[in-house]
Amino acid sequence: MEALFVPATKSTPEINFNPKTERYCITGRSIPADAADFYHSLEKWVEQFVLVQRADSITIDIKLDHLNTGSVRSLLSILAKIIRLRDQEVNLMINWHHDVEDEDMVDKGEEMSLILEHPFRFIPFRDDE
Amino acid sequence: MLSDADVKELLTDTGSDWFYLGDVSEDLISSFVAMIETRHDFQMLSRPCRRRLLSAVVECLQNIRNNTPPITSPSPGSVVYMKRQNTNEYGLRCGNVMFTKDVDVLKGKLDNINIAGVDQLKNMYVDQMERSLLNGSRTNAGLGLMEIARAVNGPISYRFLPLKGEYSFFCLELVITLN
Repeated sequence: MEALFVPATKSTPEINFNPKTERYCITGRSIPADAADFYHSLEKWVEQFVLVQRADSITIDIKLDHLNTGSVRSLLSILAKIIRLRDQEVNLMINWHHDVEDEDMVDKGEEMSLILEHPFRFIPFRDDE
Repeated sequence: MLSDADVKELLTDTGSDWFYLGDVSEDLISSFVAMIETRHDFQMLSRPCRRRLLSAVVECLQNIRNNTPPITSPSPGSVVYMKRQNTNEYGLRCGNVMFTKDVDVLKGKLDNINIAGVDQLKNMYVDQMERSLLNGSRTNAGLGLMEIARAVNGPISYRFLPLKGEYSFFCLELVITLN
């Protein structure tokens, strides 16, 4: 399956989902006014990916410094589709990278984990990393 | 739109950091965010405080953008006003034209948010987000307002100003305290 790469903008994150390198990353800032529109291409990509992928283990890395309400909802929708891979006994890891000082972003990750009923791994980073 | 007295008060406030009257577009939101980020006082805030302030501003502006009805008269223009009130306090006022028939529903949402404690607000947010995920809704259904309340860390002050005909002006008046 072809990789999906979307470069970052001032209000949207970089998306790099590449089955060949086994990197599945969302990085940057996610505050688009129409998050559903922005994440549409990733959602469609994921719908295909879960049908064809054969890996035993997948790790998703999410490293965002800001995300708005619409982005949370869109990410939840996308992650909910990826999580279906658990039915195929795929070991699915979701890494939630957060500013070491930002407890609100930890809360945000914990809430998403709660809604998805899937554990997140919380990885703190410093601003200069 | 705001009353003449309100607009005069805002325009003549020499302490205002910025004031905007007009349509709120995605480009405008990006420009506001970029403008805030270049401010010296903003850069002196801790990273979590910067994120919280920007979160409140973005949610407020996107709330305007997403909830202003497609009307041509009166002008659907919105107002946005921000002022640093002291070292760790920012005032933000913003608002938009809306249909008067929708005022009670919005007022009910705001009142529910305002009486909720921190934990209750978190539970409301999670429950609403779960419902949104289950029904595939693309609308915020109050989630943005909850996010604003969490960023403000307190009740959301609001006003509804009657306009001519079937319209009202919805105005949010926030004080964002950053500790």
